[in-house]
Amino acid sequence: MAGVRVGGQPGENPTVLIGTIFYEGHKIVSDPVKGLFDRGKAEELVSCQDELSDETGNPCMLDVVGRTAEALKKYVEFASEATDSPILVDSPLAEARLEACKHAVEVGLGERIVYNSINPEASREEIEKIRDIGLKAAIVLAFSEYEFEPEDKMRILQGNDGLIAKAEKAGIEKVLVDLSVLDVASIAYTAASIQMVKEKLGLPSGCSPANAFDTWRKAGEFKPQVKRACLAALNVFVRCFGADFILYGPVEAADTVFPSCAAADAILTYSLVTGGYEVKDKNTPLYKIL
Amino acid sequence: MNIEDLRKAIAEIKGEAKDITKRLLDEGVDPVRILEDGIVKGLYDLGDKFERHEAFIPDLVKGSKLARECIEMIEKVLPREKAEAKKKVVIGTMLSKHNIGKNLVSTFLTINGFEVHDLGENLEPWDFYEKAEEIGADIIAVSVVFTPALSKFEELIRILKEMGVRDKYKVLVGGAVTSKEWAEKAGADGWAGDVEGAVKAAKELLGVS
Repeated sequence: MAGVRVGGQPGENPTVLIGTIFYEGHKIVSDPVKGLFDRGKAEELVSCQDELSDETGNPCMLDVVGRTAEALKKYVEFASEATDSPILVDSPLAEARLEACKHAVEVGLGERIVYNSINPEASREEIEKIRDIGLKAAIVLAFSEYEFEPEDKMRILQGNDGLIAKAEKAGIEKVLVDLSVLDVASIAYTAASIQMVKEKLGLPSGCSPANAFDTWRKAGEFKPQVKRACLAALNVFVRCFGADFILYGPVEAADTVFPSCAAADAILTYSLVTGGYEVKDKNTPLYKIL
Repeated sequence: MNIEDLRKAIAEIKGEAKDITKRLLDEGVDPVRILEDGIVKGLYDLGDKFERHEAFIPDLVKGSKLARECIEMIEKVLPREKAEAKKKVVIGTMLSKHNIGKNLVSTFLTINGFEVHDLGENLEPWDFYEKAEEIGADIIAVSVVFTPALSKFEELIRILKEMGVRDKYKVLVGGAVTSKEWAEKAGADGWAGDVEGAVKAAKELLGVS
């Protein structure tokens, strides 16, 4: 996807780690409507993720969130200059996502754009617009507040009205399945869903364990370093259960997330090596961080 | 099998709750008692477990789905209070998709003789205004269970004032993130902290028994 390999058997390809920038409440943003931000600080954050990606061998992407089309267009332009990584175009509003993607395609960034996301509430109009814009890569978000068991997720994804069909109608050729997280406990369901989607649909799957912090009541009592350790643990947990990509939360957490996931990836790859697997691409955590 | 077993099955999210509900109805147990003492108390028990960190969000979701399935069985046989002219209630959840409390209030208002128009979840202030105007509602009941929805409720009050219809409706609010003090400050006519309180408040606001 946009030059990054995602998926495969655990250990074959390192986890793709996706940090989020310009999220709601991000301190580097001074005007979330107009899209004004501290460019220097944003560049530092993006460079830090890129450097950690180089050091560990874990590929990265940048999830760019904007509240309005005006803001999101500016953020995407910035991201395209600040990094060579694929860019996820993300907004709570479909209109903003679509307009920013259209703009990105017009300025020649189409190959680097991942639409984030096609969800169960995506309208026919949104699907048609994605197709008209000509996007080829998207995250499909298999989220339903009331349906979180693996069988529920399969139902959301499959069938004529399922997300996979919607993505096909939108002209999407490369799909990443985000299995969503409600709280820490629900990651049990998410992990099982990741395994089921990979096994039955053969699609690269992942999730955003960082979202569990929104509902983690006792996390408020933790010291910052403990929170970071917990974030690392959640990410490593889903990786060990097959996540091909992880939306790890604010890009500021890159320094915690990359080494911890890289360690997990190194172990997974070595377990393949001990079984006779030959690692062709040495740009992988096993040969970079140990 | 008795109502306590149903309460326990709901609190422990056991599918047998549906069988128990059916059996109690077949045995002729008062459906209102099954609802109040079995299902609602079971949900409260589950909520208490959540407060004690012994149940988690997926458990709450599964519990509400199970309760909903049981309530659907009960609703078919619930006695409806007869009223000369039914008082109309527009009800819904502002912004969020959470509907456990709202659904229970909706059910209880119905069995207490109100004509309930349930708009569902994930609503915006204008949704309440439009439906209330369309059906000539007496009460607008808003479930607020998500902090950003607090300001949306205040927006609803502002819209009703700006459209010159504030006095046409009694506005009732409740939900996990609300309080009586906040409701008064926000301009609501009534507030309720639980299902029974919502029915009581609705009756008091309209002066019906």
